[in-house]
Amino acid sequence: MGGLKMSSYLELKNINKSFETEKEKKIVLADINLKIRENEFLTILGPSGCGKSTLLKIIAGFSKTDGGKLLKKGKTIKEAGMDRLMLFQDFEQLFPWQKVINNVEFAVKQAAKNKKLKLSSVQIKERALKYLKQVKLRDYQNYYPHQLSGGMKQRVALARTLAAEAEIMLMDEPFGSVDSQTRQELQQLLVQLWQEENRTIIFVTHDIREAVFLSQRIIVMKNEPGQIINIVENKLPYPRKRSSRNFNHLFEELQSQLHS
Amino acid sequence: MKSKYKQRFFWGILLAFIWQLTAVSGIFSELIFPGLDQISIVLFKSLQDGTLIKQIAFSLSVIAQGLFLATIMALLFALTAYFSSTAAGLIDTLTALAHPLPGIALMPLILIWFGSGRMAILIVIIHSVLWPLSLNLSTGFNSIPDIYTLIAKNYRLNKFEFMYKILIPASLPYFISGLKIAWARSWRALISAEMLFGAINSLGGLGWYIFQRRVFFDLPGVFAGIIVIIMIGIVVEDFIFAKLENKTVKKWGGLK
Repeated sequence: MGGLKMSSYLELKNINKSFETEKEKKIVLADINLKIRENEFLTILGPSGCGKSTLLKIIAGFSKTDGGKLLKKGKTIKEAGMDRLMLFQDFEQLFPWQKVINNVEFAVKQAAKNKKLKLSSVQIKERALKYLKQVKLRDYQNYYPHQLSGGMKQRVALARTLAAEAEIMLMDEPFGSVDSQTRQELQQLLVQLWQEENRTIIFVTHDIREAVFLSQRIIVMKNEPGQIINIVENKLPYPRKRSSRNFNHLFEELQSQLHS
Repeated sequence: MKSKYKQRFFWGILLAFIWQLTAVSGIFSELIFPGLDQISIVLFKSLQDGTLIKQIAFSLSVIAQGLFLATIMALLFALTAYFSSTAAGLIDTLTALAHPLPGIALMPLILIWFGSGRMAILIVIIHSVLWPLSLNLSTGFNSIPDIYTLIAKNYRLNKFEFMYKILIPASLPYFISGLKIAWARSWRALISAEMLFGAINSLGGLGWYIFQRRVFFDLPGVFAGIIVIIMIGIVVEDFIFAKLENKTVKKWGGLK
């Protein structure tokens, strides 16, 4: 981090979180401090149980903290909002009763409503189609979600989040339930979309290779209690090659940190 | 789907044939076991002179009205219960009290309170539809995936938007299965209420048609009435409900 002054777009200050069971109080997150830059691609990497998903839920405004603050451009945020949209791992996040196009239109309509914009149905459809085209599913606009594969469903979900024009996209292991071939395709697509659009992405994963492939910075966490142990700048140039020496070097470095 | 109808057609014809054989064999008096020919003549006559048509129309109009009113009430109950836990307690208690009570048990009371008109039948129907339907709707509302509530929060849906954009479509499978139970229950309630309450609007409904025929010991007429009831039941179950399911739940990828 050096002496450079970081512009803090999103800032987590002294975030603590614990769950109480009958017997004990379990600390999930202990004193998390993090500054996130605008338009950066950030991954949060850690073993299961390190509280990385809880941290993402706190940023989304789904979960309350036990003290600490979440600031966006210096202002405290307490509620969920369309500026921070979550992309889940669960395929059920699409509405099965709506066609692909209507699922995406839902986001366009909500975004317009929140910004108090009036859009005609033609404009709504055009916007939805633009994002479906970006995820290469334009031809599937009239399909129902159950007719799509898992990877395609996640692409629709991605189009929906993009269509809502969220500044910050929160991704909770979104590619965790698809096969490895599809996962690599989706990772490539995500990097491409991130380069085309101005978005900040906070991506939670336990997959080291995924973190190295995707992000500019990697937040390494440990469990019991969930804490940040390191922040790694990933300066590998895009598009990244999974077989390159530097890629593997970073992979090994992160692996040793996670297992220390 | 097609083979189901083929099978039904085959077995239906066979059963009708056996019926007819039994009737013409003379084992039973034709007074108590009429042949299909006699039944069809009576059915045809009743249809032709318009009385049966009017009675069918009466029965169907009462049941449609009852189902419509009860569905709106059930929706209101289930939605109130979903959004308010205090109301949920009250509605749950009311349902627990009223749901196990057969509509027929209420008929003497309804006769005293509301007389024997259309209103009385409507109340019997609403009673037999409201509770199972609101119970099913509540179950449907409470079993929508948590992820939908998170999405609603994330996309800043207000209560009203959440209701019609997510809650109702997501629980439609439960609504349809509730409606099926409601239909079956209200159909039974209607026929028995009509028998008990007698001629309403001078003609009455299908239940009254059958009851009247029994009084005159007109068994072909009794069977004609029964056949009409069966036919309407088949049309509603196999065509109306099947169509509703094909257009919604099945198209969306089946029941969850």
